[in-house]
Amino acid sequence: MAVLANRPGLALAAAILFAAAAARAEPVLIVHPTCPAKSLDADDARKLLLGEELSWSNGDATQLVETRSEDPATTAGYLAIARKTPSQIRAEWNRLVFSGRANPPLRFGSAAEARDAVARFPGAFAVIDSSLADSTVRIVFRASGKR
Amino acid sequence: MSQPLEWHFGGDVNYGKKFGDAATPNAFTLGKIDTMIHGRLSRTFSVLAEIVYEGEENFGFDIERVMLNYEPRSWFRLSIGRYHTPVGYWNTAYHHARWMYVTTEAPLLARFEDEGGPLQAHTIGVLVHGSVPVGSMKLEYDFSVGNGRGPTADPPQNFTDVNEGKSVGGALHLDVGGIRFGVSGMIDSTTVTSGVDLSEQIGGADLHLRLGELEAIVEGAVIHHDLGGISATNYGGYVQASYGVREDVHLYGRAERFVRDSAEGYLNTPTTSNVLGGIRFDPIPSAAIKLEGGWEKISGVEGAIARGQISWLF
Repeated sequence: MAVLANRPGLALAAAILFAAAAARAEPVLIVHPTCPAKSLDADDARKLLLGEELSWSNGDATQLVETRSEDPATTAGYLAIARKTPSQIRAEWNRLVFSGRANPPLRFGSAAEARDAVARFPGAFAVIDSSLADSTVRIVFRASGKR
Repeated sequence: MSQPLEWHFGGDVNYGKKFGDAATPNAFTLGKIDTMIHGRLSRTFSVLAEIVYEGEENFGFDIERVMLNYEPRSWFRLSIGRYHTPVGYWNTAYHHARWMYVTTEAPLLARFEDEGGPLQAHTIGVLVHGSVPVGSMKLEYDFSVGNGRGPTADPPQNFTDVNEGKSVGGALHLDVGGIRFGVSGMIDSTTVTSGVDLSEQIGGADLHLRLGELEAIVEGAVIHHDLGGISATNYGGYVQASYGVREDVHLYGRAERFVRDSAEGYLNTPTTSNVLGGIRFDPIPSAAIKLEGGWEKISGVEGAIARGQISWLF
């Protein structure tokens, strides 16, 4: 740190790099704004995505929202959160749907449509690119682990 | 909120050999062809239909489940139609597609009525169920009222009921951080033939545990019958464990015992003991290859067994 303090130009460059990295898109788990969860830890996010947790604390059933075709940010998010590919996540949800314990994931044509569905549907959640998360939804988990 | 109907398709093909039993040659067999349709009608209403094509010589189809679901909250869910009764663990967790099982077949205790299973696995009626948070735990409840048993153990009464009485079932389970355990039961009465009534009481307990890559199920039940004044008490249970050595490879084992009362006059379930062990490999997430071997004794006839299965669900 003393090195940076003595060299303002280097400190500014480091700050810019840090800000750029912070602003870089990353997979995030978003929920409906009325969701009682303000943030999730890694284990909560994993349980949610794998369907091991099927209700929120207010009694709303959880509802996974996805895109119909594979989205790179979603794929990266699934791997980071649950160490599973989208097809493995789909197999887990097929198991839940077959058992009658959960409704199937809602699927939409694009990540923006998936976000809009999360904004409309209490209990819904999705993993999308952070650049698409706007004020209509709440980010409760970042794949990078940042709060 | 309405979405296109979601279709799922499951199936399995099997190979089996029972050593020391000349009456049962080794054979490839078609298993169950399972289709499930799920329709989302609104945020709180959905429909589910499961139709299974199966048979021994000729294929026929069974409508295994047809349910209209109303689910306003996770602590209150209402289902009307034909559903799996809330008795035990296996019957409510795995249903018909064998891809869902880690093993090639269900334990005898959890087999369906048309496979000689001793429990009342299906009924037509109303099911209320839900999950209530209790601190860090979860209390799950089920309450069921349906037509129940008919003159024979199979089929369940789909279109009518031979008497005014209904089968009443219930279950209570507690889920504590990966360990789920509880009790379930059912009472029913039916008319078997004119002037001969059956009274049935079923009680059971089950435990499901998931710790890391280890999954274990312990389940047991007592089935008491009074058929025309003759009482019979049958009991059975099994212990099953599986361990994921890799994401796509699981080793498993199971031991089971079912004791049929010599006075039992309604069920077709034989006295059975068996142990098995095997390996399950999932080359892709929606398909599984299972190989298992073991020993079984059914109605006094015993021998080693070897089985293989390819199953899928997508």
